[in-house]
Amino acid sequence: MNETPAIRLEGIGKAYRQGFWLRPKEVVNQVSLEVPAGSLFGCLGHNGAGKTTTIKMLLGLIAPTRGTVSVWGGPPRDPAVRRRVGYLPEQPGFQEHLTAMELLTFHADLCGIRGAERHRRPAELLERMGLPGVERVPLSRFSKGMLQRVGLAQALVGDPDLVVLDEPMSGLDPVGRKDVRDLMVELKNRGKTVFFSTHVLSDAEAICDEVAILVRGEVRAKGCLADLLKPKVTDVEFSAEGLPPGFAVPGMDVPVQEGTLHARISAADRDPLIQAVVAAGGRVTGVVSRRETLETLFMNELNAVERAG
Amino acid sequence: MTRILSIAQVTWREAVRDRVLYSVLFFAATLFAVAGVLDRMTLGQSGRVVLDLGLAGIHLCGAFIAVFLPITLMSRDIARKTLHVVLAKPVGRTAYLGGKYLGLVFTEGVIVAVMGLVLAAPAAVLGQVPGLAYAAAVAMIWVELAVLTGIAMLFAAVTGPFLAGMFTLGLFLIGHLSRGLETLGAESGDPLLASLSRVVHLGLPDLAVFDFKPAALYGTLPPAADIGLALAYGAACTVALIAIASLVFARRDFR
Repeated sequence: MNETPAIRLEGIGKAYRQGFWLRPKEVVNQVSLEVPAGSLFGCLGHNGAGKTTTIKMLLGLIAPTRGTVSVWGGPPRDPAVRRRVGYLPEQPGFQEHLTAMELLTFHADLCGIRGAERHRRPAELLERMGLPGVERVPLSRFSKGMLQRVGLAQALVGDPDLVVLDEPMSGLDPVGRKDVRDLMVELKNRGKTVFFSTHVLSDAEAICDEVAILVRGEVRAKGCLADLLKPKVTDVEFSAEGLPPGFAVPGMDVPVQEGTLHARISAADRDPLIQAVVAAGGRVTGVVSRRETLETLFMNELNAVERAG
Repeated sequence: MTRILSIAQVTWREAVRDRVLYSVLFFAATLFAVAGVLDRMTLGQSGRVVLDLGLAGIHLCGAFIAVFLPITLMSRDIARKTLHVVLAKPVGRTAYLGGKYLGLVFTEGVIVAVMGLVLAAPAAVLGQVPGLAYAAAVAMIWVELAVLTGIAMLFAAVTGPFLAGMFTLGLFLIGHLSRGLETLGAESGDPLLASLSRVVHLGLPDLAVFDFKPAALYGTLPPAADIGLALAYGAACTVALIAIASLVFARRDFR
């Protein structure tokens, strides 16, 4: 049975009118993607690629100029849809005169939570986010990292089925970044759908089931990481030492300095070079096979767009 | 409705903790100082002078708050993306405006009530004991502030804080001058000017309707019909302003 996708974007675009003549400027162009329920989906792109605009369109904060947006099969502004969505914007700001508990109970009210649950759930979330004992502290005294954590708590207070996070690791130290990655994986393991944007590719590569790469407002690649990244070896980092002066291999560029060789060679050249080094009396000290990474894929797509002008 | 009341409660907390009520303390301190000076300068009319100045002070202080507090809170919500996380919840944009409005009007009501009580004390000591007419005048100041808040929220929904402030202040001034302008236009003999001044008077909120201060100075309670009409006019203006603000707000993109 086909489950309703958490998010379906079909040909959405957004143009803003700018300048004295109000010329339209496309910030998102023909973005189509589908986020399966229960997946961990990364929306990747450089600064200004259109990630935040895309997220705001799927939340109903911005109206698309064209295309259709569907969240859990319904329009994003439908209250029944919004009950199933939690959102954390990039570098969020909250009412700084409220305490952490007041903020979370306020958002619990907005989610329709009543009774004892209205206080119990915020307290649990503050504990889970590593913020015990700050219930009565005004948000004006929170650090950037603490605000990010309380922001995650407010996104989760309604126990949403879809969690949308815009640059959730922004402003966090390495420990905080790991905590957020672990939280996203935990949410996915609990059957939630997580959709997040980032420009830090290593974060996405570590945890995502599927990704979409945005370059200048267009989706350049999307799908499962396993399908997108070629499994074959792209090149090899080769190192050897103890080589005689004048060591050379026909057809290969392998510079030797004081008997030491360190070069990047093709996969096809690996075995012949190993044989040549051994035959010359040298020692192979390192052979590291490199496969295509998300960064490589991303840079290839970015370069392709820039070459096309 | 719970969501609207929750937004109203948070708005009240924001306003109170943002020290806007310190204006009440400043007003009270200034009033007591002025009363002490005036008692020595007037010829047995110090109570009435204190009441007159005090009501004008409540009016202006309240107007300042009603113009700038909604604009400040709303523009801050948008700039800090506080609004974004609220609207991502199952809360309509109209509910957000409604809750914000209720919270602001409640805050202004508390401020006006406290200032009214603070003013009553020195006035009574100086022989001008405030009665029902005074209470009606203070209540109508609050109704005017409620309309002014609606105007401020409408402009805050449309544009940035500076322009919203300027436009709201402009309508506050026009609202108090439009009757006089209509009279001038009618007596000018120029049909175009007469029509224009009449359109301005009828099309924009006439804030002079809520001015019951002269009656309060003489202790004369206005007729119930006048009070009822002013309340109904205030309610109609507010509903229209919030409705227009909702229409505009519903179409706004939050970049």
